[in-house]
This record gives sequence, structure tokens and C-alpha cells, in this order.
Amino acid sequence: MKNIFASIAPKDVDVVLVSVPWTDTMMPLMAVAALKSVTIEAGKSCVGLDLNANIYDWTKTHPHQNKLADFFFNNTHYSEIEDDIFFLYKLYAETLLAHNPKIIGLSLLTYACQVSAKYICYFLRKLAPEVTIVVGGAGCFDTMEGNNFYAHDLLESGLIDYYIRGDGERVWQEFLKGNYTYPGINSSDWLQLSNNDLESLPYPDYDDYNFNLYEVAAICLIGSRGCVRTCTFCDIIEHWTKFSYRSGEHIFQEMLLQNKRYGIRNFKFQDSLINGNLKEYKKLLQLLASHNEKNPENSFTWSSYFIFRPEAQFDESWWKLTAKSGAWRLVVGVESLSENIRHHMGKKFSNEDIEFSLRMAKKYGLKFLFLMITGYVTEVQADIDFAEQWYKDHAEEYRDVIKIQLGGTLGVMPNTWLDRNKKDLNVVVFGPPYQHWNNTVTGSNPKQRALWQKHLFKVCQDLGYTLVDAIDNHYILELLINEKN
Amino acid sequence: MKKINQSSVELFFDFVGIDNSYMNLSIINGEEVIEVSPQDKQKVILSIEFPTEIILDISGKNMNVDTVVNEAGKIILDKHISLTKIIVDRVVVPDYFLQKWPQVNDITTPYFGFNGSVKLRFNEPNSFYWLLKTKQ
Repeated sequence: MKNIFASIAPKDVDVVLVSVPWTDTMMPLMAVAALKSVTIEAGKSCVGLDLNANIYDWTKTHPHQNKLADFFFNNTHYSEIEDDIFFLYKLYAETLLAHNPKIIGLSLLTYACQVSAKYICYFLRKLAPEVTIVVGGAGCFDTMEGNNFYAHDLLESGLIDYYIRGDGERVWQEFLKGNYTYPGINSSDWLQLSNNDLESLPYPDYDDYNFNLYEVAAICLIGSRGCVRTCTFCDIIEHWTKFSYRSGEHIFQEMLLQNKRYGIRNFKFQDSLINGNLKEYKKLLQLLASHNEKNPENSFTWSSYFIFRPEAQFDESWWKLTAKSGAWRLVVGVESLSENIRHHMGKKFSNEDIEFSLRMAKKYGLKFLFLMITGYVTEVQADIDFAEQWYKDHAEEYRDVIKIQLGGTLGVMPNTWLDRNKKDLNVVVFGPPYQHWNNTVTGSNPKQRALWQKHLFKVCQDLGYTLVDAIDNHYILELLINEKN
Repeated sequence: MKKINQSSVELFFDFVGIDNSYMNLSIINGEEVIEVSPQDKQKVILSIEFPTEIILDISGKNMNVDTVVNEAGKIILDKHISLTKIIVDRVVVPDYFLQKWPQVNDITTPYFGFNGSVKLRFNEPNSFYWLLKTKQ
């Protein structure tokens, strides 16, 4: 295996921060950049590497891509990949240690990073036992607000020295000061950042990112934490119980600065939604639209998670301004095309609202990525038939407007409304993985839902829609289809 | 810096005796022989070099008196030693692997209720490969 980290030049620093594989994304992961700036502000020298990007790039063309995915997710052993895995993690650890750090911080975005983190710590401990190892991120925990058995076990066995939970920036500041009893360090309790806290943080530092690695070179940023909706399947609202946000002006200043630093004009918001607070959203749109008008040679574009709102709340003037501000793709958790399912989920928009949003997007040149859940707890064959017809009815007019991500079917995650009410919903969960559940009344089971997903995928593909074809979804669907129910 | 094939192995044993009488356990690691005193949940830390094989030498069981059965023929007390946990280079090995790893002639078991030898095989170039296979 060639050294996929060979382009990284080592320099002596106090702290190395790094993203842990495996996250299926073509975008930069921003946690490392956000924490790097906090580290520099604390007076420590630091390198912040998004090595997930190098590994994602390598995985995409690997001859045993599915086996790698199975290994990253489940630690499943395959002799065909064991040499590559060995050299991958060894090289990864050596690349970090070449900077002679005193502290290494590993950022785990999702649970799919847990296997890798364990083996990376194994190599780090073997090669440099004196280095302090800290892990953090949602991936250290079973779910966003779930158990911390994984992190606790790593701590107990001595593979790590500390784990960090919750809004990492403030906790990391305290950690670097040596305040190891601060909430969120080796504990389940943590303090949520307020609006003022969010605005007091330094802007993320992407100096060490290789933007050539990404399919889309974009600067990532966060405008808020939490959500204004309370969807039944979502655990974000359990993690961030309050919606906190930055002002439109503050966000715009960051975009200006990052554009000056890196010459990148494309931005990706990583929070749950950009239009949670309409007042601040409008302010941001106005600033961006004005900037774009005055700077046609350096105009900004952006994409973000976004919620559909009824026309009464979000009329044509909003869509027009959204387009003028440089929006190019809005990622919307539509989840289902059946109104009754969306109503059950807590999604507060109708099919007429979708139609209006589509008309506006077409008119103003905006693009949507529809995030869909196949196989909600109340979903039956008739809903799949309805979805199929909907895609057929809208293909001609909107196939160029809508990109679709059909996902890996519904997971009933702990710490969600669905999980708390599963008995009343006739749902029996036998996971993890959290896609492992049956509905004892409708007969919905993992295999059926995976087949529904594959069917709709084929329908949409044949109709000419663009679909997100994620490696991890392939893996999950095959797992579900081949399972005995 | 340690060589990549040098590893730390932590073995956890549980000794079950009868009337404060326990079986004897010697761990043979190359030329090193460690006598393990019969205390509950005994932990032994070894330094090994992959690939290698560790021998557990077990003795001190009188088959006539150290297995007590009731009138129905059911064993109610049995003097034995169990291997309860293993950690290699700080990585905890899955419990189910323990069931199929310690080799006693043609069978595998972590329950040692006999006099004889048990082989613990570390038959990979280094602990990383060995740990990978514990998930097989």
C-alpha cells in the first residue's frame, strides 16, 4: 500500500488534532479546524488534519470497498484487507507522531469511527506511550446522548487518557488549561454553548487541510446548534435541548475572513438547519446578496441543511433573496412524501408546501437535496406506491432541481421519541444496528424496508433523478437484505 | 521504541477451590516460568514477542474428591481455574473469543478443571493481526 499521507509535511507542535475514519463524505470535516483555532488561542502550537479525507479517497477505489466498509463498521476480519488495514493505521499513527506532539486529539464524527479509533490508539500507544490521547465527538458515544461505554472502555484499558463530550470547543479550552474536572471531560454531563458563547469562539482554522482532496472545495461553518423542530426519529434535540444560534452578521464576517484566508468562495453550513431563526437568516441573506451584487468576481455560494416552511411563513420574496444570497443546494429532511407519515414524524409542512418550494426553486435556480427515510414505523406498501408515483409525476419538471438521498432505512435510535414510544407503535427493536426492528402489526421488517429502498432507488434512477450513492448505505442495505428475520 | 511484535498481555484468572484448597497454575512464557498464586481474579502481566505460544501448566486436582456431585449426579462444586479475560496491548479481547482460544488437546475451553497443559497461541506476526482475528 502506498503512503496516502505522504504529502503531509511534519512540523513540531504541542497538539495534533485529526479526524478519524470512516466518514462517508466528500466534504471537509470541520471539528478539527474548529478545535485547532481554540488550541492556538490557548497559546499552543497545533496541526489540524482531516485524514478521513485521505482515507475516504483511498477507499473509493479500493478493490475490496465493501469489505473495508464492513471492517470500519463492525471490525469484521477479512484476510484480503488485513495487510492494508495494518499499514493504514500504522502510517496514520506515524504521520501524527512525526509532529512530535504532546497531545493527540482524535475526532470521531459517527459510530463508524469507533473501530478505527481503537486501532489508531493501539498504534499510538505502541509507538509513543508518553503522548496524551484524547478522543471526542458524537462518534464516541452509542448515540448523540446515549451511553459512553465505548469511551469509558478505552479509558479503562488505557488506550486513551481522556474523552470529551458535548460542545467540544469550550470543553477543549478548559482541558488545555488543565481543568480536567470541567463538565464534559471523562463525564456524561456537559454544558451547552449559549448564543454568546457561539459568537465568542475563534473562527475555524483550515490551514492544514488539503482542499484538493474533496470533491467540493468548500469552507464549512456552523451557524447554530440544535434544532427548532422535534422530529420523532431524531436525537439531536435530546443532545442540544435548546436551539442556540449566531447572528447573521457574525456568520457573514466569518465568511469574509475565510474567503480572504483561503480564496474559497463556496461555503457549507454544517448545522441542522440554516433557517431556524428567520430574523437572523434574513440578515445573513441580505448581507450575502449585497456582497454578491458588489463583488461579482468574488461572489459567495453556499449550501446548507434547511427546513421547508409553509408559504405563509416563507413566501416568494424569501426564495428570491435566498437565491440572490448565493444558495446553490438546500438539503431538506423531507423524509417521506406521504403527508400522514410526515405528520406523525412532526414535520410541519404539507405536500402543497413542497410543490410551492419546488416551483420557487425552479424559478430562482435553486437546487434541493431531499433526505428521505424509507420505512418509517407507520409506513406500508401504499406509501411506497405513493412515493413511486410522486417521483414519476415530478420527474419531467423537477429532476434537475431535486437530488435524492434515500438513506439506509429508518433506524430507531435510543433517546428518540420513537424509541420511548416503541411499545405503543408496535415496534420491537432487536439492534443495534438500529435499523433492526419489526412492526408486529404492519409486518414491516429490515429486509422489506431495504427492498423498498432499493426499489425506489431503481425507480428514481430510471426516471433520471440524481441519487446519492453512499458506500455506507450499500453496506447497510446488503446487511439487512441478507439477514434472517 | 518497542518492536512492533513486542506486546503486553494481561491474563485474568478466576480460581475456584474447595475448602481453601486450589489448583496450581504455572505460566510458561519461553524461558520464563511464572507461578500464579491461587487468589480470586488473579491478573498476570506478560511481555511476549509474536509469534509465540504460552503454556499454562495446571495441576493439583484430585479427581476423586475435587468434584462434588449431588445425589442426582449433578456437579455442585468443582475445583478449577478459569481464564476470564485477556487484554493485549491494552485492547480487550472479545469474550466469545475466549471460548474458542485456549487449546487443550483437540478442544478449546477457558475452563480448566483438569491436570494438564493448555496452549495459548499467539500465532501471528504481531498483536495487530492477532487482534483482528479475534473478531473472526
